[in-house]
Formats: sequence, structure tokens, C-alpha cells
Amino acid sequence: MLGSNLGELLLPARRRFLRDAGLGFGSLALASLLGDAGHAATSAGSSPLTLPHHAPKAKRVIWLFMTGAPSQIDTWDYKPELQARAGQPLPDADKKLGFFETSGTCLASPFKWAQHGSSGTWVSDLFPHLAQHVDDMCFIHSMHLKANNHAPAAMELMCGLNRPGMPSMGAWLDYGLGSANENLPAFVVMHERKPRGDDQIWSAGFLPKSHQALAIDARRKEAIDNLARRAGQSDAAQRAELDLLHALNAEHAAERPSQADLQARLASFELAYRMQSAAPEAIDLTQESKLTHELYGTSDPKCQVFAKQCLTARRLLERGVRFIQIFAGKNAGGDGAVDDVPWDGHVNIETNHRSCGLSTDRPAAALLADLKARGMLNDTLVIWGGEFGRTSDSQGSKGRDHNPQGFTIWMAGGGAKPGFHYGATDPFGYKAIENKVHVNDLHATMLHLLGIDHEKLTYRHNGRAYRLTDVGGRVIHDVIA
Amino acid sequence: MSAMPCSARLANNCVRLLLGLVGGGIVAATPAWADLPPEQLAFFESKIRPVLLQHCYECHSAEALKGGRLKAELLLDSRAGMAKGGESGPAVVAGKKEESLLLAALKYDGYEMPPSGKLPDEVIGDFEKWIEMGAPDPRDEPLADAGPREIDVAAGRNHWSYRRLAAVSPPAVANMAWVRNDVDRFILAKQEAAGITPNAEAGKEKLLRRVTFGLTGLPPTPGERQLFMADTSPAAYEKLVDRLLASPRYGERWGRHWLDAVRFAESGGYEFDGDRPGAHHYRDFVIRAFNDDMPYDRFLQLQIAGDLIDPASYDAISATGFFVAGPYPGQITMKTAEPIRYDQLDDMVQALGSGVLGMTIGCARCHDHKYDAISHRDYYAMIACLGNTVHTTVALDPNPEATKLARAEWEAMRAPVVAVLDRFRTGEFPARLEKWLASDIAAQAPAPWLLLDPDTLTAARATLTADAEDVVVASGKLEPNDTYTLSFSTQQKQLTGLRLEAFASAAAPGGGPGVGQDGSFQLSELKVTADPLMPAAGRKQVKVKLQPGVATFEENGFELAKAVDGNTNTGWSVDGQLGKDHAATFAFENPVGFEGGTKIKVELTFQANQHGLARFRLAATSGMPAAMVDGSAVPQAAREIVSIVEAVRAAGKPLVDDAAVSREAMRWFRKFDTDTDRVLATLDAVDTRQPKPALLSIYGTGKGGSDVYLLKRGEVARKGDKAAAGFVRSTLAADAAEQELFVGTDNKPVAHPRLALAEYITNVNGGAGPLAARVIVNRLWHHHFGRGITATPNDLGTQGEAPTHPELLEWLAGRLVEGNWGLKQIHRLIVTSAVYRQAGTIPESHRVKDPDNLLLWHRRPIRLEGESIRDALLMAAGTLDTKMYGPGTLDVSSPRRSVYLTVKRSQPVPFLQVFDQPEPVLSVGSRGTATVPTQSLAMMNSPFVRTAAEGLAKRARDTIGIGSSPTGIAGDALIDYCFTVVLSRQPKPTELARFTSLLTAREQAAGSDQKKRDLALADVCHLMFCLNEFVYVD
Repeated sequence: MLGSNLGELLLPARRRFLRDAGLGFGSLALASLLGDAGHAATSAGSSPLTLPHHAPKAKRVIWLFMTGAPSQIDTWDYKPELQARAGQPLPDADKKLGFFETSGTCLASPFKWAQHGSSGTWVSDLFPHLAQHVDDMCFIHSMHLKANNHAPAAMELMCGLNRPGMPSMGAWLDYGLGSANENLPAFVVMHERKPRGDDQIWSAGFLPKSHQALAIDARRKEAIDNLARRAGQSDAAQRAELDLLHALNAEHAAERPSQADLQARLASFELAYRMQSAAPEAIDLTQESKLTHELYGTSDPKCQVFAKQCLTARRLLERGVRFIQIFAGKNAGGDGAVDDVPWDGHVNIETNHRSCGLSTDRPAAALLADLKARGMLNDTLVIWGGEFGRTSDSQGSKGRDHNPQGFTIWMAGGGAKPGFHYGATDPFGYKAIENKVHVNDLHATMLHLLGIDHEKLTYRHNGRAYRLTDVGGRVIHDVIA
Repeated sequence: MSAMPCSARLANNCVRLLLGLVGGGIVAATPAWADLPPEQLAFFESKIRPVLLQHCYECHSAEALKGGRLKAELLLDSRAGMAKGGESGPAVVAGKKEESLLLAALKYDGYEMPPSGKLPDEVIGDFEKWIEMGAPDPRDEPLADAGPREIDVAAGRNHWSYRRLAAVSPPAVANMAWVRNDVDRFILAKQEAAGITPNAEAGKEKLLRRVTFGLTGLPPTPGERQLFMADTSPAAYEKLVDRLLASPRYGERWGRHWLDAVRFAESGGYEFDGDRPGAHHYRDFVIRAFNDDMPYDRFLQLQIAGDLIDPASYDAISATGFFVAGPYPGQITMKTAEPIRYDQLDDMVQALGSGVLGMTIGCARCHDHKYDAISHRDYYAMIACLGNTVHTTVALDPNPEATKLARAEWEAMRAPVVAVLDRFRTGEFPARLEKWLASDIAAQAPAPWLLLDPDTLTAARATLTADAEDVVVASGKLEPNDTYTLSFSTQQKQLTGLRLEAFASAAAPGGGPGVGQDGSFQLSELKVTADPLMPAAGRKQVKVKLQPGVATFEENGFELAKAVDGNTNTGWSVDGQLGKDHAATFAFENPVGFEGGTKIKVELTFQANQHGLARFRLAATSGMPAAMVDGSAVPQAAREIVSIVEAVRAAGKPLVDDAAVSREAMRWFRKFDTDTDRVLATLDAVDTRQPKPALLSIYGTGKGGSDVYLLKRGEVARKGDKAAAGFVRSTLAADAAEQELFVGTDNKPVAHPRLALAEYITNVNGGAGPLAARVIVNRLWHHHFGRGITATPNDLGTQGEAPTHPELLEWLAGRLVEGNWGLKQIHRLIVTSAVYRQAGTIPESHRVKDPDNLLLWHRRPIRLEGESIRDALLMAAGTLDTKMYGPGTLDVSSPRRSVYLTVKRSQPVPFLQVFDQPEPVLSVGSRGTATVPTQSLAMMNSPFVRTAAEGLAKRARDTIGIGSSPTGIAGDALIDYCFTVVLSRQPKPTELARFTSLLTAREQAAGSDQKKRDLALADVCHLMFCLNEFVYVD
């Protein structure tokens, strides 16, 4: 019975300690505090990971999540056939594909299309700013998934399965790679009104809670809970208290040498102390130049919420945050759709998408430009996309319903092939038909870019080794630069 | 495998195609391959075979089979293997490329092969061509047997946790002096064999804190500590244990553990995360059951089938919250309804599997379990037990006996009033009626419409009242999406239609006729039902079909017809002519009117975010409704009396002979006769006092749903046969037990398969009772020691951790069953054992021999759960409210125990979440205990902890009676008190000195500011809360 544990004894002491300590996002930090060069698995019950598996092309990821699902055929997937056949029956239309019922009649894109960049990429006029960056983008036009409603689709896209309970990809990365900054979490989510599915879509699932996202709500004054010292407490007073606490806790821990988490807790208070200053600094936009603010559009009422989120994200990425997701909110105005799913253009695709374009285009383009200017785009993977696409036939006369059978996302930087298009939908943009890419494949590819073999990033839970890509996933080498 | 399925999404994976049930395929009659045209043979040899060889044989050939590399039992190195393919069907069907799954896989359409990357289009084109030409294939090799592993049920029964309970005797040990009860002999025997000696007993203070937190989740109070320390009797500890087990706090602590195991939450998750207001009754049931020491088998049976076992019992109905506690989508479309249904069944069976049976049954949803003896068939047999099960809300009288008595009291009070009424009815009433009949009023002029005088009128949002002209007025909550329900009674026969008058109204926000801001309304649907007033054979409720008649105005697109089209998204409105009176008529498809009278119910719905009517009136007719939208009308009363009298006279009987009929006549006659009215008013007054039970709305399990089909690969698109209800056969004593469990005690088949399921789960002779008993005693051990006898409480299968002390687990399970499944006796055994009472001392030699303490030679500290930390803070502050049961709250600052905080899936309570409260999505057997800076931030800076610190400082001052600015000895006393409250022990002199110096420094810094000086003690208390010792229990 003791055999396996004798084996454990042979593990390097520090690594064992870290595992037993069940440390969270300070894990890498603590590892360095203890002088441990390598990064170890961070939780009991996991198999020891040796990461990365190969040289990474990307060190960090930011996903600009277009909440509510933008229409592929009104953004990046130009379909002359659809434009030409407006008002005619859509071949093989499935009127019950989406959430409501659609007309079965082709709805042409109401936007003006033009080619951009040396790649000659077609872009609708929703994105005058982003269109300038098409030569950095790698498009996947053949995305598809199963779920046809927002929350389950967001779960599928974020966690690999269209039911709650699985860890999201940010949690997996946190678990696998930890944070590169000892004072900040590895996984950050930003939102305005919470998107459908709420915490379920950035959950740590069955992974230790320490891997869950730190969610920053754009509507709240205090971005992170409990960062501010209590009223009236000076830094000196807090430091004195923590020194005393440290002494008492250290004595307590010394009397219980087999309990690694008691040691971890000593470090945890110190990390918390440092976070109090590091985190507010990281999200303090007043430190950015006027020019930068203008680039992002932080004072443009049409896009300022998303602009501030993108700019904050860039600061966090610079400081070592591993994975950020911004769930685009509704900003100041917008038409029709519900706040938590702004791109959900059921009623009028033109007015809806127009307002969503205005609130996201400039900041997203600014982020690309800014990352590039700082030399960060090389190793930062930017992903843009929503939870599914929209129908080529109309819902009502001017709207489009949900369509999970074919949609477009694009990536930029971080090893994605620039100015490249992969996969295709049919001539109406209705269904992915060529080089279809499931979300598992996207995850496998993303992990590959980060130096991780998706089949080896596993966590043992309820008797089975789980991974982000479940039993699927293949790396799409074609989209890798 | 797992609690999560490997997912129906397997569809997109090659495994799907390949992991077949061998034996299903039939090799087509062999053509004469020898006669293959040479050009076809050449095509195969040059275009097909090399590709198969290069890309497929590695995993799909006899060679791969030999080398143990064969994937998914698919062989592509022979013609026969190609034809047989996998479960999805043959890999290749000659001439039929649509049916050839190999081609689909090559095209990455659904399946994706080869996994290394898609082959070039021209290669795929070759395969297409080859199949079209008839898939000529000279490879005559016989098919190797690549058959899948068959589940061996009989062998499965030998798995340690699936066996029948065995009689186990505690082993002999040398050091009997250490042993306190039989539990210790199992522990000590292993230690002695490994040359390890256990620790002696921990000090009394440590024991007190350990067992108080362990059994109640709260720290001991200073008074409890005082009593225990002063009790020097040998049985002091046992007395303490008895007191704690009898405390209501015990059920709150252990109920919370159970709620983890059953993924309890009070909202649906997914979209919108809708609340389940009646869900807390389940939580209350669990707490009560633990406190009452309900036998564990009964506890399970009620959760599985309480609604069938005892439908009138509050406990039994509340218990059924178990199956339906899982997440459930808030939006369902036709496309998703069926997959969601099977997901829901999967959630239910997984909760039962993981929570009750320690079994990863979810793994068998798509295929036989890869490791445990649970077949695909068993999975569907289990969910077939739940096929006719849905979530529902039951209105239940929690105390029917009291209601019965109250009703009897009321009836006794009512009887004399009824007697008076009957004396009047048979005495004065007939003469008064005769006189009236002769008057002018009775001889009312006829009119096409009869105004309807409502008996009852209710609305979902607004408040409805009727005036003397039968006009109904809406007031109160004038919100969109309302529904008005009115009922009328009438003696009229051959009713042919209704008229709805919608009046302008100066009182309405927009001047009417609707209650919208602009006076708008939209009548989404009008529904009419007719019931017999006097029930008799052959008189049945009629749902009246309506035809649109005429409206004074119809907005374009919102015609009258839209109010009777069955679609609540469309309706009738008069926008464009608001602020005026309107009317519309509706014709009945068939005439309405029962012998003896009719009760008419009219329901007006105003959906699609539109408003209801401000002032309106309904009228009925026997004429042509469409033609008479503006026809005249008369009130109901006179006409009804005349109709009643005419009917009675036609029958040739005096009116008073039939009490019901004559009372109906009185009901109308009171409008014309003050004495009749007075008599009826007396009865009305009594009737308003009719006792009504306060019905509880309980979220639980109900009957409904539909049959369950075996789904190949777990996909609803691939239905097999209807699944028969049954069980996991490897957990049965023998095959025959499966059918026996479906026979009730009366030798008849059970009424519902859930009843058989309840029996299966708890039956130790034939069913899975032994497994259920092992799982629960292991859970108890897990929570008392921080690690179970098997370290995976939710998985006692082959992939779970092997038990460290299998005989002890067996013995405890046996004790549970012998002791009528009482859990408290097991707790008592565990916490009074020497192994539980050990000190935490760690000799270095032991550490080398057993670094993980698997032999339990010392006590390891346990990190408190978030709930206990929060509760202990409230208790220290002296603000803990021990009110039990009832609806919870999401407000973390609530003074109630954490188990009463509402569990909303999208809004976890941050303070609990940061301390590892699990997501209520899947059963959780063992919580994490991660250490993260956000915990430290919460302890340092959260208002909740600060409030508790200030509360404790105030409490200390109040208790000891020291006012402000304590210094010296007084300060020491305060610190001593606070320290004892927080850590259940007195401070060592060195500790006291440190806190005193902090206190003094803070007071000096505060100077003469009295408020600040007072806060100095709070700073000290706050620091105590941050101590490791506060959140770790030795």
C-alpha cells in the first residue's frame, strides 16, 4: 500500500510541497520565492505536468468575445451569391435551425463590402478600423458547433462542452502555465452586463478554485474585490499587523511540518499585500498617454466601454496575465438586442450590427496596432469571434437567427498565419463545408501555439483524465505561421 | 470514467465510427473477386491500397491488433473488415458513397481521419471513384476477431464495493491500551504491521474544538469550553459528543455536506438562471432528516420516490427535490428539446450514481463503461426508471391534520347559519319570489345581449373589481403580459357568442381602453371554457372554440382573428383609435349551456409585452353575435331568475324541493330583495372565514415525461429500442434480482419504476444496498478525517482510490445496516475512537515510513470550509442568528448560517466561492482546499470580516464590562476573552504579550480620539481572524 507513496518521496521536495500546498495563481510566484526554477503541477490529484511540451509561439491570449453572435455574412464572409439571390428561397434552408423560426428566404447583407490589404480580404463596412489590419489576421470561415442558444454555445466555445461543469480554457491555461506575474492572476475576464451563462462560462469547473477567472465588471467602481485597505488603515499599520501575523502563523506552521498549505498561507498573505498595490497599478489607465487614449477611443461615447477594456487588457497582458477574455457589452446605446447579448440581431441585422460595430471596431483595431507597436503581437494570440453565426435567410424581414453550422472567427499574432483564410462555408454562407473546424480543433490549435500538446494537458477527476478537448481536437497546422 | 459524459460530441470524432459493436455487420455475398477486371484491380493497387497502408493500418489492421495498437476495433486491412465497419455502419458500401463512412471520415465530415491531417482532395476523389466502381478489393484475408470487451457482469460482482456485505471481525492488536473502540483495532492492526505507533490523545481544548467543528461546523462557545474543561469525569468527552449530536447545528453541518454530494442549487443555470422558489424545502428536508437521524435507507428512498411513497407528507415531497436539483436550460427549442431531455436524465442518474452509489455511471451513456462493470444497457435501464419523471412544483399542506381540524371547527360554526338560511329558503323566500315574479321588473324587456355579472375575477398582475353595471376595472399593477381570468354562472342555454366591450377610461394612464401609457392594449388570446353548474353524468367540461366576429376597429396586422389563433405573440389591438370605446364579438362554434346551468370561465391574455384592458365588460347572447356588436343589453339577474323558475315549473315541482336550485335562485334574487340579501350576507361573512391551509410550493419530482430509448453512442438521432427499466446488474446479488425488485411487497408489480429504484438502492440482499452503505460511511469518515477510507468518495469503482482500510469500511457499513441505518451511531463510533482523538505530533521516523499518513498515526489539521469560516465569524461577533429553515438570501451579510444562503448558480457568494465552495453542477465528494491570495484579501480587507472583528471587540467589552481605553490588566482580559472566543483556547503568555503590544500601540496612535481607541481592539480581533489557527482545526 505504501509503494506508490514511497515513489512520491522521490519527488523533489519543493515540487511535492507545491502540489500539497494546492496553490493558486501565486503558484509560479511562490515557486520563484522558493527558488524553484521549474513550474510544477499545482494541485493535488493532477498528474505532474512538464510544460511546455514544445517551444511556444504565443505566450498569452486575448479573446475579444463578440457577445450575442455576429453574423458571418455581414462581417468577414462575403457571399456574392447571397447578395444576388436576395428575396429568393435559400436552398436547403432549415427554418428551425435557430432559436426562432426563419423565413427560408435569402436576406442579402445590407452592408457595403470592399477588399482590403494585400491579402485582398473582403470586409463589410462595419469595420473601417479593423479592415486596416486584415493582413495580420488569420481567418477561419468554417467554424461550427452544436449548441444553438447563447449560454450552451458559450459553454461549448469556452469549455469544450455545451453543458455546465467543465473548466474553461482560461482555467486550463492557468492550471497548465500559471501566471507570469506573481502579483496578478493568470486568467482575467472582463464584462459589462454578464453574458448569458455568467460565471459558468469562465468557471474552473472541477479544477481547483484557484484557477477560476478574476472577473472585472465594467459597471463597478471597484474592479477587484477587497483590494482596498479598510478605511483609516495606513500602509504602515497594515504592514505591522502582517508582520505580527507572519510571526504567529510561522510558529503555527513550524509545529505542523507535514502541512504544506500552512506555509502557502504565509506566502498568500504577502501576495495579497502586494496585489493591493500591483493590481490597481495594472488597471490604472491614467498612466497611459493621451495619444494612446485617443487611439483606443476611451472618450468616444460610442465605444468607450470596450475601449477601456481593451486598453486595460493590454496593460494586464504586458504584466504577465496569461489569458484575457473581453465579453463585448452594449456600451452606451445600441439597438434592439438585449444588453447581455448585444450582437443578437434577431430583428434588424443592419441597425443592430451597425451599433455593435461602432462600439467595438475602433478599440479592437487599436489593440492590434498597440500590441504590434510594442512588439507584443508576435507572441500574443488575439482571437475575435462570437458564440456562433447567423442564418443566411431572414428572421422576420430584416433579422437573422442563430446559426451554429458555420461562422467565422479570426486570429492575429501569436503564431497565427497572417493574411490567411482557412475553411469555407457554402455559397450562401449558411453552412461550413470545407475544412470544417470544431471548437475542439480551435482549442487544440490554440494550446499548440502556447506550447501545449492538448492531449497531455489533463486533470484527473472522478476517475477519469479530462482535457479541454475532451476526446476530440486536432491541431490545424495550416493556420500556423 | 467520469461524471461528465465523454459527451455526445463524440459524434465529431473518429472513435465514434470505429468503436463498434462487432457482430452486427454482415459481409455481403462475396462476388467473384477473382474475376475482378484488371483495370479495377490496378486502380485498387495503385490508388487505394498504398493509402490504406500508409495512413490507416497503423491503427486499423491485424498487425495493430497484435501489437495492442488497434483503435476502436476497426479493421481496414481486409475486405471483410471494411464491409463490417463499426457501429455506425459499414466503412465501405460498394457503389454507395453516401453510406460509406470511410469516405465521410476522409472528408472530415463528422469523423476526421486520418487524425494527422486531411488527405489531399485528389486522394479522397480516388476513394470516391473506387467506391462508385463497386469498391473492388482483392483482400480475402479472414477477419481477425477484434471484438470489444464484453462487460462481464458476474465478474463485476466481485469488485470490492459491489459485493454483498461481509461479516468482518475487528482484528487482534497488541496495544489494547490505546484502543477505545473496535474502529481502533482496524487502524492499529495496520500500524503494528508497519511498525508504527499511534499518537496519544490530544489535549482537551483541541478535542473540544475538533469535535465541535466536526459535528456542528461551529466553534465551541466560551461557556461550553468552561463546562467541558471543568468536567473531569471519565465520560466527559462522550457526554460532549452526545450533546453535539443532539444539537440542531449538527443537521445544518452534515446537511451541507450532503448538498455538495447532490449538486444542490436553487436556480436552473444556463440562460437566465431562473430561480426555483420552492427548492429550499429540499435543503430543509435534508437538515431535518440528519437532525432526526432518519434511517439512511429511508432518507434515500424518499429522495428517489417520496412523491409515490407518501404523497401527502411534507417530508416525502420535499425530499424529491433531489433528482431535479440539477441545472436545466431556461430556453428550449424544438430542435433541442429531446437532447435536453436526455441531458436531464443523465444529470439525474449521475447525481444518483456519484452521490449515492459512488459510481461513474455517466461513462456508460455512449458505450459500455471502459473500466467498471456498467454496460450501456444498464445505463439506459437506469434512466428508464426515471423516464416518467419531470420537475414540478407541488402545492402541499404541510400540516393537513391541523387544516382538517380548523375546517371542522369552521363547519361547526357554519352549520347554524346554513340552517337559518334554509329556514328562510323554505319559509319566506317562495312567497317573496312569487310576488316579485308578478312585478314589472320580472317582465324585463328582451335584449340581444345579457350582461355577465362575474362570480370571480382575478389577474396575474393587476387588481380587478366589478361595478354595479358589471364593468370590470383594472387597477394596481398595470404591467404588460397580464392575464385576466373571470368566471360567470348562467342558466341560459344555446349561448352562441360573447361580446367584449372595451371602454375609454379617464382613470387609466393613457385614457384607455388599454392600460398602456398611450391607452393601448393587445388581446393576445381569448379563451372560454364551460363547466356544468350542477354536475351530473354526461355533463363534461367543454373548451369552447371561438370564431372572430366583428370589431369596432382593428389595427392593421392586429385583427380580431389574431386573438383566437392560439398564438400569444399575435393579438387584437385598436391602436390608431385609442381613447375611445370599442367592442368586439366572438361566436361559439357550438352552442353552450348545460342542463342545470353553466359555469363559464373566460381568460383574456395580454402577452408579447403588451398591456391589458382598463375598463371592460362581457356579455353573452343566443343570437347572431357577429351581427350585433352594438346591440342593447340587459343585466343578468332578472333573466336568470325567470329561467330557473321556468325550468322548475316545466318539471312540475315546487322550487324549494331542490336546495341547490333554489339557492341559485336566491343568489340572483338578492339583487331585488333586501331580506334575501341579508340572509345570504350572513353566510358570505362566515364563508370568508373558511380556513385555507397555507400551501407550500415545493420544487420536486413529479410524474410526466415519456419513454426512454436506448441511444446508440448517446445520440438522440440514433434511437434503438425502447429501454426497459432496470439496474446496474453488477451491483445486484444475481441476475434474477433485477426482476424481483420490480415486484412489490404485495406480490404485484410496482406502480412506478422509481419505487423499484428506491428499493434497489437500499436493498442489501439483492440490490445495491451494500454499495450505498459503503459510500455513506466513507463520506462520514472523509469529513471527519479530511480523507476517506477510500480517498475518492464519489468513485468506489475500479478507477477510484483503493481503500486504505477495506475491512474497517466493510465493518462500518455492516454496523450501519445492522443499526437500522442510523448515521449518528456511526458518527459516535468514529469520533469517540482513539484514532479520531489523536494528537498531531509527528515523529520523524513515522514521516519517512508513511509520509501521507495513510495509516492515520497522527491527526492532520483540516481547513475549514467557507461556510464554517463565515459562521464562525458571525458567532465570534455574537451576531449569529440560529433561525432554521425557510427561504434563504443571497446577502452575505445575513446573520444566518451559510447553509441558508441561497444557492444561485450564476451568483455564487464570493466569500464562500473563494474558500472553495463547489459549483453546484455535479456531485462533489471532496472539496478543494486551495490557498489563494484572494482568500487573504477577503480576510484582510472585506467589510464582512471587519464587521465581525468590530462585533467581537464590542462583545468583549460588553461581556467583561470594561468601557473604553483598556490598558494593562484590563486590556489583557479583553485580549484573553477574544482569543478564547476565536481559537477556543487561552493565549500563551508570549501570544498575549504580542497582542497586548499591538493593542497598546494602536491606542497610543489613536491619541485622544475615543472612537479610534475603541477600534484598536477590533484591529487585534481582526488579526486573530487572519491566524492560520482560526481556519485550520487541529
